[in-house]
Amino acid sequence: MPRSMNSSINAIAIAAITAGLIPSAAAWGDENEQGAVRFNRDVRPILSDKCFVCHGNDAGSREAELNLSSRKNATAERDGARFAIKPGDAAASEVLRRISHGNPTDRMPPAETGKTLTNAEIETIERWIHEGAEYEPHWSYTLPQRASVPDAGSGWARNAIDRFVARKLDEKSLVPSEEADRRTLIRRLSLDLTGLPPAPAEVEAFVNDTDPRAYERVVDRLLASPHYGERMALPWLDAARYSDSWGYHSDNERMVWPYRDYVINAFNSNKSFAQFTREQLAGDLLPETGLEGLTASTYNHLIKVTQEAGAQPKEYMINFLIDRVSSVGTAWLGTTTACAQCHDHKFDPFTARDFYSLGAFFADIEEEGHRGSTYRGSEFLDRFPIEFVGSKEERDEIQRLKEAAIRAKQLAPTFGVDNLWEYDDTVPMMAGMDAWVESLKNDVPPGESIWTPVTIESATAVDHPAVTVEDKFIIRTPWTMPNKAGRVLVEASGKLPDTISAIQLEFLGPDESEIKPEDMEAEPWLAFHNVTFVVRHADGRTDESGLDFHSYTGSDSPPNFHAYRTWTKKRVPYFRYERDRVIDYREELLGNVASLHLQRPLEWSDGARLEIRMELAWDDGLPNSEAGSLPSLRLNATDHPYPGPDYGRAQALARKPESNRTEEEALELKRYYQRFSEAGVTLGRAALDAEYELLEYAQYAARTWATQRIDEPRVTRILPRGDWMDESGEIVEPAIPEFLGKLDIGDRRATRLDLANWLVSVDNPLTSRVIVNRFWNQFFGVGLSNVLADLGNQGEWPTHPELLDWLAVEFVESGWDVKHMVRLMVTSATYRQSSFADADRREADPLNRYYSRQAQIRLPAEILRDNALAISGLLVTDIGGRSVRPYQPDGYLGDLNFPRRVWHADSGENQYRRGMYTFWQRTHLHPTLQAFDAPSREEAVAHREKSNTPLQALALLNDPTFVEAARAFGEEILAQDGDVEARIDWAMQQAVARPVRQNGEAELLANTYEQSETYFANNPDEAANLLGIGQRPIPSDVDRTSLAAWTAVARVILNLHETVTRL
Amino acid sequence: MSEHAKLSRRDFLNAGLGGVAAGLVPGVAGAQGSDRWTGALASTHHTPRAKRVIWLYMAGGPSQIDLFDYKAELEKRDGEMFPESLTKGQQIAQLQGKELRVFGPQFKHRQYGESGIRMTSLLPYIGNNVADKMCLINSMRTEQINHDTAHMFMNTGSQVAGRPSFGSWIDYGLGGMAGDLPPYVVMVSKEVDSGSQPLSNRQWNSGFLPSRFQGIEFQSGRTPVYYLDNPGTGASHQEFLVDQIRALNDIDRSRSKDPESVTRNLQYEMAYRMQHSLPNLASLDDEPDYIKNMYGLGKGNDSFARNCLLARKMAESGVRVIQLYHRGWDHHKNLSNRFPKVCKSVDQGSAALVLDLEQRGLLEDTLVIWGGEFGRTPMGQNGDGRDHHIQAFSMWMAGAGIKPGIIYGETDPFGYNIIRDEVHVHDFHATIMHLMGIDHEKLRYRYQGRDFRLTDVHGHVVKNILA
Repeated sequence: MPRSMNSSINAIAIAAITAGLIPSAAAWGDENEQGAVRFNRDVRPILSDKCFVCHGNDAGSREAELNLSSRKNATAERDGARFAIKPGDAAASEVLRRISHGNPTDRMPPAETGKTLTNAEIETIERWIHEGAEYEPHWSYTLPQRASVPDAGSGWARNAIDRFVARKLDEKSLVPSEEADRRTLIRRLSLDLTGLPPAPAEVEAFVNDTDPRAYERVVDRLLASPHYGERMALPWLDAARYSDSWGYHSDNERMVWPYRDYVINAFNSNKSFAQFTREQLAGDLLPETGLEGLTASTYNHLIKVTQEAGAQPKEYMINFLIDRVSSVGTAWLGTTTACAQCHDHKFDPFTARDFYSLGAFFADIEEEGHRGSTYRGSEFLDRFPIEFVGSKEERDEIQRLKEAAIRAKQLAPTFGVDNLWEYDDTVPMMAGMDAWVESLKNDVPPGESIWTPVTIESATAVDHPAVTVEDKFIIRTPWTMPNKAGRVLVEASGKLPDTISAIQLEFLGPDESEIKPEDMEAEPWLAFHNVTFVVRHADGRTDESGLDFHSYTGSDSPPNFHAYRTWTKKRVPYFRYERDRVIDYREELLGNVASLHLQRPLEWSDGARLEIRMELAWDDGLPNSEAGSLPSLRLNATDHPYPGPDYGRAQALARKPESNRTEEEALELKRYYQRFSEAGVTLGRAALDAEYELLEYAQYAARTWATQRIDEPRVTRILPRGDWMDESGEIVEPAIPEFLGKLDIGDRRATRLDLANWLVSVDNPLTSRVIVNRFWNQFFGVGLSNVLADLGNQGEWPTHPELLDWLAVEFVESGWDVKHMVRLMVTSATYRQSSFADADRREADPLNRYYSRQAQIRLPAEILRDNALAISGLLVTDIGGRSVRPYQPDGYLGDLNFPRRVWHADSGENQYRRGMYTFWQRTHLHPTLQAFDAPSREEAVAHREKSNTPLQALALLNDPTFVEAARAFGEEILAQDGDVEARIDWAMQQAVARPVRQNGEAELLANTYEQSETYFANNPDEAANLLGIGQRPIPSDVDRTSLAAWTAVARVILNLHETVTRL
Repeated sequence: MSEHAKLSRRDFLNAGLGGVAAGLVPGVAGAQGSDRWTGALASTHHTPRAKRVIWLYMAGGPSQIDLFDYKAELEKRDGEMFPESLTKGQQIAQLQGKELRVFGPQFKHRQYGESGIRMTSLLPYIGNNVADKMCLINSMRTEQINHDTAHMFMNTGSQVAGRPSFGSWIDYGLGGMAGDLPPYVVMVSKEVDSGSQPLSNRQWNSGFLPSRFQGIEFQSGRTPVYYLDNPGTGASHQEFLVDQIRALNDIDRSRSKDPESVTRNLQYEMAYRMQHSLPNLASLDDEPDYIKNMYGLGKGNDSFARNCLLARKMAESGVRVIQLYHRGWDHHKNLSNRFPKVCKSVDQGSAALVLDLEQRGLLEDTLVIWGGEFGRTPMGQNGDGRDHHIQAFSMWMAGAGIKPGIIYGETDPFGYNIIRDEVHVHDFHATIMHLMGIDHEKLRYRYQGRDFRLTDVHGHVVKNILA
């Protein structure tokens, strides 16, 4: 071993490699040696693809006990002195005989595998055996070593990268492309390093800069930009699968955005990638990193989680393990691990034991396999591994409010949260109960009710099925589902008490004749908000009150203050959906009564009229959500200050001598006292106020799911065939994959920190290569080894192995300095090449694997948006914070439930934030992001597709985001001085960093303007429609026809291939 | 085929080049100025029986006990303790830790048609019209017991997110049949049951296959696809702008020489064509009344029936894979009240679709599937409901290449376990692929270094249900 190692290396029989980690110079051999067959380059890909399925590492599926990935096994003498492979003697090697067998039934691989060997492949294997059948350890499992920099590329090369690239170009008889022009270069750099287009002034400054270091100065400026971190975060967020929702089933919001901001900041502050790794996997184990480390440790919770009723916790705990191991495999190790959850990896020396041993690192994370509802008030503060990570003031305030809420609840424990509904004898208020029972007895004489029937004069409904009045006392409603949130207005009169403190809704059964089966199917809910009571006196005076709280006999819950709190404020803390449980399935309401308590009593007078207005909403009570429906009902009024929902019943119990009350009755009476007496209501209100204040403050405070440790890690077993119900498997301890060595930590149990340290240690052959390969892909459009997620046996032999290793070593030796690596890449001559290539050049290097030109890359989904908003001047460049909701088609979340989801597009500045801040809903990613290949982030992704589809064209043409951006851009164009052509020139500089061309382009754009102007002059309605898209107000002082025409030009420009492509 | 297109096609199929190739321009660019994907397979593996699939997807887990797998034994033992010998050590969902009692069939069953297939009397349209055309499978088996993961398993053959759905595989393998229509369409009928379980995009996602193969969810109304509508401007204006964009791209290409720009122009043209073709496709205006009546349109909540009729239009127009979701089947409680309503909301539409396809000669090469992600327990829940059941459940198929009027598979007298002819989800997928002319073991795609297929390493074609 050339290096001092923290880990000792095991040689393992089963592994493809018989040695441990050896430097890869040996593995590469002489990269340029043409003659001999090379195992890694030439033979391994054939064996891995065609043979290892049955003759590979997985003992479970191995045929004929032949493991072609092991030289020892493959060359061993078999029965009858036969050899699968006899080194140096191809003719005596059974392998060769079988792969070239004339009879298809004897030929390998068997026909049912669907695999065949080409003649060239057979020849390669023959030559390889002939030359001695030498094996080599797989390249990526050997430590990278810095090869000497070639001297190719003189006169062109700017740094080591170019020397390696030039050597390969020479070898392939290719020549590099010329350097791109400065406009192209600055646009490329800006988009690559910040995800934003350059401002025209920046372009001009660079074009005219005569400093020989002008280019480097642009690079330095962009690397120092706070938007650099945003751009660099994108691929990492894919690999870490950062999102704003849970992933499974109801896919509710998981507030973890501080993690996203941590990633942005880490790139901006150029945190070493080693530390970045440690904090994410083990920030909770690094006390010195404080809140930052805790925020980073959210990484461990970016798994998919479920709230589905009936989920088997044990199964999901295993899902979490798989999720985590796979993600670490993709993000750091460039290794596909998923198959090893059921069996040893067929292609790589990665065993099921390795898989579960890696999983065991995470067995100390506190979590639940199944998470219940998130709707339960402030419980969420304790229930989840929530960490508030905002400013100190914010955290102190939350602590203060938390304590206040606890104190208030202790005084009135039957209120507030639904797990405390049970009666509690120990609270101080119980002292007042006897007096209350006494007062209750004589409140109204026996046989009388505190409620007076209300005469209904009229009842009308808007956006609600028609209501009728029956017999002066009944509001009859049909059993029909409204299509949207409706309103009902009731006008009433009667001989009512002098003051009205509460109104009772007595829900009646439906008129059977009204019920159609398809309506019964609907099972509507009732929920109401914005309830207003108005008394119009005969003399013209009016008096008005809102709803304070309500209570309901059909429910076991305390009086519902929540409704009052949330609905009247029209702002709904999202985790407090329990309020809709109070008013229930319509079917369940029948026969029950609800008391609506007024905020302040209203005076009543003879001849007065009472108006009750209520807005009806669907279950979650959100404005604009789907509608609820009112059942038929009678109304009563009272002047009693604390009329519980079933006052008569309580009174009857009070009148019963104490000794005659059954135990249940006694309890019922106490419960009634705690909930509906003045003392109960007062203390309950205080408890809810305190809780509400806490929630109101805490709900949008910076918080995240930080990792919390449990002292006793869970037991991790190898699961035979991946079956989570099978407990027969062996127990494993945390360990790194055996073929990559062993942690040198003595007898103690290895921790996540050990894992992180190993990932970024000099002994790890994979991480540095995986990461620089991904950076390379980002800046050159194609990886040096182009299966970014897999550098294993099924991955790709790198096109420039020595360059990849040189970069990997450089990365490690620089102290995992990301900006250093990025600077190296973007200042290379290779990077600066033009991307324009004629047919000959393309023919010679069709996929640009030798980098004889730059790549042309369609902008990533988020940056497409950023680009359009930046060009139009709409972009708000704030960094970080809560995720935002740009325009999204109505109904897009209609397939979600628990609760039903409505997407309220943000207004104001949050509408114009960068694409990366879009609320990332895993099961329903924003359709435009999805159309442009952004991943759902349900699992780790190392590589985004770059598709080109008609849905993309539709999104760019018609998504309101782009239409509004075009209009804003149109406004800017219109505000420029000069004629049509001058304006067009300005617009092109703004959009694509270059003047308009006179090759027909200027003419076409001018023609677009002129024809559009004529069109909109003739179709002013369409101009108004177009300009009306989006929240941005239409300027009043402009000519709408001109603006619409410029908007059309702007739409064309924003849709150009050039605009959406980084050249 | 142009040189460029050939290269792209080869790259696409060439595993080693994964990333770059994925940008791909598909099969036959150029010929008619379209860029229709014509499939990764040069030809089908064998003569297909089906050209298209319509799956009436009963999401939530319909009760096979109450629909198709009648058990006298359960009726007899209604309310008794369920035999522990059957349930011990088995996966269970919401009934975890609860007392398990027999819950007999709640509705009348009867025999239908000449085949005498016994099924619920709550689906009289299907019974009277489709029984003799269907192959009823009473021995379906899945592995996932929660809705979300079971949907994933039923659609992608895996409980791991990120795998392509069966429809994406078919599209990838065979391509579409009509240039300006998406080859794979999903419609979710609008129900108003507040307990409807959520669905996820991943059920029709293309997973690791390029995103062009994902199912497109159609919305109801004249704008079935998002962003199909112009921003309040007329079609001629939009056409003008698209022409300008294309012309400008052509000019710039003399400099950039970017072949993706050619593709982009084709996509703009295609997008423009879709703006015209899709609203027509999504409209039922031209359907005669007798057809609408046949499907039962205008009767109550006809959302599912409308989708059935739309499915027929799409089948005629060349859409290859159509999934119609109905989300109303998760009956943990109130089964006796809710179940008949749900049956009613799908019965006429389902049957009319089969008949309508038949009368147009389409049934012979259209595979119709009816069923959901799992079944329900023969044990009761909440007094009047059933929990999820994965050991045995029912689905039926009809049309292309399916043996008509038979029942396949059998469960024990308690309807708990399969005792004959299990059809695992993988087998079910293998059979669909087989009918489409695809050998499920041969259609593969390399991702992250591994060859994947819909059925992973499993699946056998269920030959005995093939005509």
